[in-house]
Parts: sequence; structure tokens; C-alpha cells
Amino acid sequence: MGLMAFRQEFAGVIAELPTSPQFAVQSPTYTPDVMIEFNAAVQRYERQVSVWQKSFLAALEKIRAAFDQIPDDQIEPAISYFAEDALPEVFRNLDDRLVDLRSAQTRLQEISPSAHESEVVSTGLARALAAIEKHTEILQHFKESVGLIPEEYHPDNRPVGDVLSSIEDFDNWFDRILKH
Amino acid sequence: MIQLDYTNRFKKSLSKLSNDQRQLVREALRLFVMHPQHTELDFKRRTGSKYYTIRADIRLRVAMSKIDEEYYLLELVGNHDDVNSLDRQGR
Repeated sequence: MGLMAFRQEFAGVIAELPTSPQFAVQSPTYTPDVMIEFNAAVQRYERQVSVWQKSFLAALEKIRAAFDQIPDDQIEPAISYFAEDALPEVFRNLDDRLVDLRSAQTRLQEISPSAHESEVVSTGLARALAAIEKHTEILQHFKESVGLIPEEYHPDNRPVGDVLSSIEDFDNWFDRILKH
Repeated sequence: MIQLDYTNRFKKSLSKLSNDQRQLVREALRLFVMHPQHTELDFKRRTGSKYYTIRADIRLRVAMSKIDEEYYLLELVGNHDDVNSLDRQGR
């Protein structure tokens, strides 16, 4: 895979990433209809988060697979493109989503159910906050993992493949490192 | 026995050392391969880091990544500042 093909592959992976939380936060009040609606929204959101987790892991694998197919003489330009052009935009998008999530979290935390609605509303809120927390962790994990890929694939940081597997060979092995 | 591989970055950092220092690294790695927990080596994972280090002398450290329990990748040899810079790159 050449650099152009890699860029197209990467653009495709990023285009498939889920980028926006579809959880419309509204203040739940203790009326049966609103709470049913709120809890249903939380349940949909929980399902989406679970699907997104798989999508992000699959995206990481696709990016690594694309790097694996790049010939050695193209790896440095591919890393430069990835680190300097592609990653900043991905990070901006992820940071925007993290801001959205923090905002949703704050709005939910500010809701203080009154005494008579306390238990039902509190349970719904706790579940929504837990889903937001999980979503946040997924985004942060993806951000951290994708940010490490340039280092992971830099030729200087890849294993040479000269594995010492016998103590009898130790001095020869160490001399080979010095000679390269 | 511990299995070892290395990166080009390790090779480059090793090439910058004096002959005496290279000899210290050789002996530290030989000991590590056979007795990774030997107290002389002070083998440990760096706090908040994915890297492990062993001590070659009072100032010289070898940084490595753990591939599995008995397989490590040598990443860099240098002083504390060099190993700290490795952490910053890996963040």
C-alpha cells in the first residue's frame, strides 16, 4: 500500500468513526411519561456506547493494518502525514466530543430531585451518568491509543527481529548490536 | 531465560556510549537475561510509564518494553534524562 492508498484508507476509517453523542440530555422530572422517555433514551444511549466501543477498537485495528501494509520506504512519509496532518484533526474532533460529554455530565449533575421524586429520578440520572462516563473513557482510550501509533510504527522503534534466545549466544548477539 | 530483542533507537543510543559503558551494559544485560530480579539490576517498571528499566551503573539505565513475561524489547540506554525523554515521546 502506497502513501496515497494509506491516506484514502485512513480517511475511510475516520469517516466511519462515531463522533457525536446522540444522547439528548433533558431534565427528568417525576412524571411517568417523562421518566419513561428519559429511561428509554438512556437505554438507547447505552446501546450506542457499546456499539461505538467496538467501532473504535475496529478503527484502531484498521489503522494498524493500513500501516502494516506500507512498504518500508514509505513508512516515514506515512507517519509524517499521520502525525502532522491527520491526527490533529482527529484530536480536535475527539476533544469536541469530550467537551460535549462534560457539558452533558454537568447538566445532569446539577439536577437535584426534590424529596418526593428523589428515588426514581436519581436512579435514572445515575444510569445516564454511568453511560456518559463509559463513553468518555472510550474516547480517551482511543485518543491515547491512536496518538501512540506514530511512535509504534516509527522504524527506529520497531523490533529489529534479532532475538536473543540462548545465553550461549549472548556475546555474539551483543556484538551484532554494536556492529550494525 | 529472558528473551531480548532491540530497536534501532537502542542501537543508536548504545553506539553513543564509551567502550567502558558498553561493557557495563553488556554485563547488566547478561545478568538480566539469567536473573532479572537480581538486586544489582534494580529491575522495575517506571512509575506511570509503559517502560521498565535496569541499572547498568549508578547513572546508566537500560529502558525496555515488556512484550510478555519472558520477552522484552530493548528501547534505549542512557541517563535519567534520556529515559525521561522516552516517557515524554511515548505519552
